[in-house]
Amino acid sequence: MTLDCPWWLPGVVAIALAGCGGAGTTSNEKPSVSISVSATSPLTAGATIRLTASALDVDGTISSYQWTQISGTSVELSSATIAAPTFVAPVGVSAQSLVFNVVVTDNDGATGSTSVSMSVAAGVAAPVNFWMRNVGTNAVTNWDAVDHASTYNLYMATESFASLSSLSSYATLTDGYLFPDITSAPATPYQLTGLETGTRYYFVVTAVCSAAVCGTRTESVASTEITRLIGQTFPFTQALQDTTLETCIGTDGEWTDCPADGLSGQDAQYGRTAGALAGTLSKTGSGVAAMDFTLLDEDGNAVTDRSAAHCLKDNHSGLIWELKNADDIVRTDGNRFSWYSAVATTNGGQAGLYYGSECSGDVCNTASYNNYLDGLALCGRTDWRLPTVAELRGVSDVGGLCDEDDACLYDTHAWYWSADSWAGDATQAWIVSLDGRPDTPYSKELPRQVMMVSDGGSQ
Amino acid sequence: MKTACAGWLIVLAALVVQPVMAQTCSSTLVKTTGSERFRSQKDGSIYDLQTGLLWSACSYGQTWKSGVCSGSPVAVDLTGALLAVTDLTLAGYQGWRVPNINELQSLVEWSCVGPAADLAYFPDIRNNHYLSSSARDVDGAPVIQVLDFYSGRVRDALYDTSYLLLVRDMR
Repeated sequence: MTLDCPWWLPGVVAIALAGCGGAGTTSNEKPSVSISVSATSPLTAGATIRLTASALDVDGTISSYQWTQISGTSVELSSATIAAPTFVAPVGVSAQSLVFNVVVTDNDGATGSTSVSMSVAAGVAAPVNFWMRNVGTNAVTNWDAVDHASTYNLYMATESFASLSSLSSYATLTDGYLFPDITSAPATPYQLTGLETGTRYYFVVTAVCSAAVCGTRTESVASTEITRLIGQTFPFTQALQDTTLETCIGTDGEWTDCPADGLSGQDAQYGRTAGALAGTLSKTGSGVAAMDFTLLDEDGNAVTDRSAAHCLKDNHSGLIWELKNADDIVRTDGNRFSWYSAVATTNGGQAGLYYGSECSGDVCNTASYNNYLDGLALCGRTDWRLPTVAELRGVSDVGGLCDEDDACLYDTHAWYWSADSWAGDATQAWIVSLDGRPDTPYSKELPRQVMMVSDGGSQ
Repeated sequence: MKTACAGWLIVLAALVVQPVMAQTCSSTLVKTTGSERFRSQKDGSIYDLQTGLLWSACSYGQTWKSGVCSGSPVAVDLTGALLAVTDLTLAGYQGWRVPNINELQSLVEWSCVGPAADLAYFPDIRNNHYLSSSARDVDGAPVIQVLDFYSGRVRDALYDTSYLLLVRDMR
């Protein structure tokens, strides 16, 4: 075979090798690089801009990128060592220019570099802390004031603004609408009315810089988008019990009918009691003022006769309260017990007194009394507990109405233990009378009456 | 030397006179307020998810800005309080009321005293009496009920005037 080789072939191979790798260590080609910018100058202040380095190495690969900012207000690049970093165009009331440089390095360590310059239009920042809440078909919105802004534009649509490349085409969105040149907000929250129930709305707001301040009238980029489904009311989990006050204080300092002349706006004019006074409050059961109780027998079935009742269901709160019963020596009205709880989150570090000075049967404290009711499964409940101060206040008759009718279902003048230890001194817990007298912390070791409560519902 | 001593005496006097009113909270008792219940609307009002009530974050007489109550709370009697809420616009709303006593006591943080309130949402609640629109009968005459925010206790009004938090329904 070797004999067939032309005489010049080894020479050609040698030259070819020199052109490729053989002599590459000494004559590596530098990479070339150019930069493109994702938007044309002048850039919008506050807009997110992407720089893209397009590098080419004819005899190898690009191994690294290094970006630096040469001039202009310092910006933060998403990364200085990737091919296509982003940054936010700086906000200022005068136009400015930015210059960036990128150095690319190839796999043999050779570098190429180039710079790009761009201008940024004068402008203001987008509003922040944009919030909104709606009640019924109305909404209230506001945002933080933006430096140098003269007015604000509020945009509304029933689809998201995220798909828009420019806010100026907001009208292409479904129900796209602009509330232009708002000046009352953010000093005063901005009100929207007449929104459609069951419709989801989207909102963004921009700040506008006047020609006087920014040279030309310019609009900021959009705020964070807010979306609201109209017709949702504020959620709440547990309506408070109203008081049983049906009368008001007159200007003479005496009780008078509501509303009192010259003193309109008192307790009895609002809430469920106002409905009860007007005869518009519907009740499942019965009770004074806004109170709505159903009596329960020992199995938890509704009864009408107090003498057959062992519990009381509050139809407004859903709570079930025990009622006293003279046939049971433990549950006889007037029995008193010391406060005791082994649970730290309830007792605050002071469990109270287990063997109180007054015992009924072998029940001497509130925890034993609680266990006794659970053991009976009184009214079908095994989740009895001490009530909170607020729960006791919810069955208080501050208006003294049941006394007037001689229709009190429980002793409203006794002092009852609450579940709340006093944060000021955990050897005491709060006691509450059900007639509006000032509640007070009281030594856990001393005897007081109890009226246990159950959450009601499934257990 | 004499003037320097006088200066120090003023400083010492200021330290002695300045009351130290730090809130103390139990490390074990369950919190009854906090972020599970309250939502700051960032406009000086606090929404209570449990009760459906909107509250003024600051006492009447103060102004709210960025979570801080500035100025001094103004103590009012019932006449002054009912007048104060008439036509009042706060956080973009009208329809503010003087709270009834159950509403007012629902704000109590039972694991704290001095004050018994959630200072993260109601930053400047004072260890003092707050007015309600409720009264109870004492010997045939009405006595206004107030909440003592030092402890969370409901009391009969002792003074002619009390501080005021405003409430409105959001249902």
